[in-house]
Formats: sequence, structure tokens, C-alpha cells
Amino acid sequence: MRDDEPVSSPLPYAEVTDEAYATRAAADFRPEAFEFAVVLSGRCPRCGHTSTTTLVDEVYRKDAAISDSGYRTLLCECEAEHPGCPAGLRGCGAYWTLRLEVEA
Amino acid sequence: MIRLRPGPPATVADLRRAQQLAGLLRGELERVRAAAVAWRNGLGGLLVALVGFSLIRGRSDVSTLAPGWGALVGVLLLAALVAGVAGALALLRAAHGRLTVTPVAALPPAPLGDHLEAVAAVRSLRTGVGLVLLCTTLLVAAVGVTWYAPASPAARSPAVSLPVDAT
Repeated sequence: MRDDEPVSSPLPYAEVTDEAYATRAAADFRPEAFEFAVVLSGRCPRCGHTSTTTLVDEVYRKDAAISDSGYRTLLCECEAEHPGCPAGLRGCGAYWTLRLEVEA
Repeated sequence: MIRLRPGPPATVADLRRAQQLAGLLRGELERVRAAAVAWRNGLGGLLVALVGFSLIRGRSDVSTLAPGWGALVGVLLLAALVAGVAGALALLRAAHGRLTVTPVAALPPAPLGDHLEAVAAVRSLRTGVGLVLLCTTLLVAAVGVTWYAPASPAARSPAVSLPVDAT
């Protein structure tokens, strides 16, 4: 078993959130800035698997532009199997919000 | 440096928007490539129709134009050629990518690499569309000059007919 496999039986997929998720993710996730994007990597606060999320400010097709709400919503995007995960999605279903503050 | 802080309690609307964005990001490069191929085919068809089927046609001999106007036609046609070739290359780059090899160490993590390529492809697509439209404009301008530019004095002078001796 790899060190990013925290549980023996996989958690079922569930779209759930908790304020503690955001607190743990803010402490655990590591941001990496690229041109046009920020990549956040860390352990999902629900399932514990490694999750990597790419945050962008714009994406092709302007009709799907992202509104600037001052925070970003992150999903668990781990590669582990979670029973019940709908087709086209991945992760355990956990989601939370983070604010990204750029410091000089 | 980027610092992370907990955000407000997430809502289902936040979840749906994030899922939609994740889906858009995963298929972004394919959509850009498909759009670039469509633009390439459409603009290529436009140019073929204009030039290949002679929908616009000027004088075939620019030496009949007044001095200087023939040279202007040549400059316009040369500029149209340059713009057309550059536009075609930009459209091909948008549709099929660059002819380069990327060092493995420089590869960004997925799906960021695809997003960066999609952004570059959209830029090339915009550039290519603009250049091909510029090429078309220059072609039309060149043909317009051959239509409306004054003729050379030699071409304007009446033809002299010699009397025919019947004997």
C-alpha cells in the first residue's frame, strides 16, 4: 500500500463539505504558481489521498467565465477509487473553499 | 508567495461551478483544436473562392497603369502574400501545435500543460484569423487599384491606323 493510501476500505463517493475541510486544506495544501495558473497539491481533508487542483482565471469558451467571488472552490481530485463516483468525475466528493492571498 | 486561508462555507452552487470548471479544463485543448481546424478550413475556403475561382479579378497587365500604380499593385500583392503565409502558419500552429520537442524537466503537471497549450493555441488562432482577413483585404485593395487607377499615357493614346493602299 502506498503512503497516500490512508484507509484500507475506500470511502464511498459523497458530495459533502465541512468548515474543517477548508481549515485543514489551508494548512496542508501547497501552492505552486505558474504562468496563468496556480497548482494546489495536498491531502484531501476527507479521504486523505493526494489531490492536485489547477486553478485558472480563464478557460476557452467565454460563456463559461468564472465569476470573481473572492475565493476558489476546490474538489477532491485524488486518483483513488471511491465507490459511487459518477462517470466523468473523480475524487471522493469532498469540496471546500480557499482564499489565495499573494504576499510580496 | 501565495498564502492559503480558509474560505467561506462552501455551497452546492460552489460545488457545481467547480465541477463545471474542472470539466471545461479537461476538454479545453480539444475544443480549441477543433475550433482552429474549423477556422482553418473556413478561411482556406474563402481564399480559394476568392483567388482560385477568380471571384475577384483585375487587369491582367499592370503595365497599362500610370507610372507608380503598377508598383503599388505589386507592393499590395506582396504584402497580401506575406500576410497570407503568416496567417496560414499561425492557423496551422493553432490547429496542430508547435513543431518542437519539450524537455521532460520542463513539462508542467497535468492538466496545466494542456491549459497553457490551449492559451497559446487561442492566441495563434486569433493572430491567424486576423492575418488571413488582412490578406483578403490587401488582395481586394490590389484588385481595386487595377480597376480604378489611371491608365498610362501610352495606353490612353488613340491607336493610329495606317491607310491601306488598294493598289
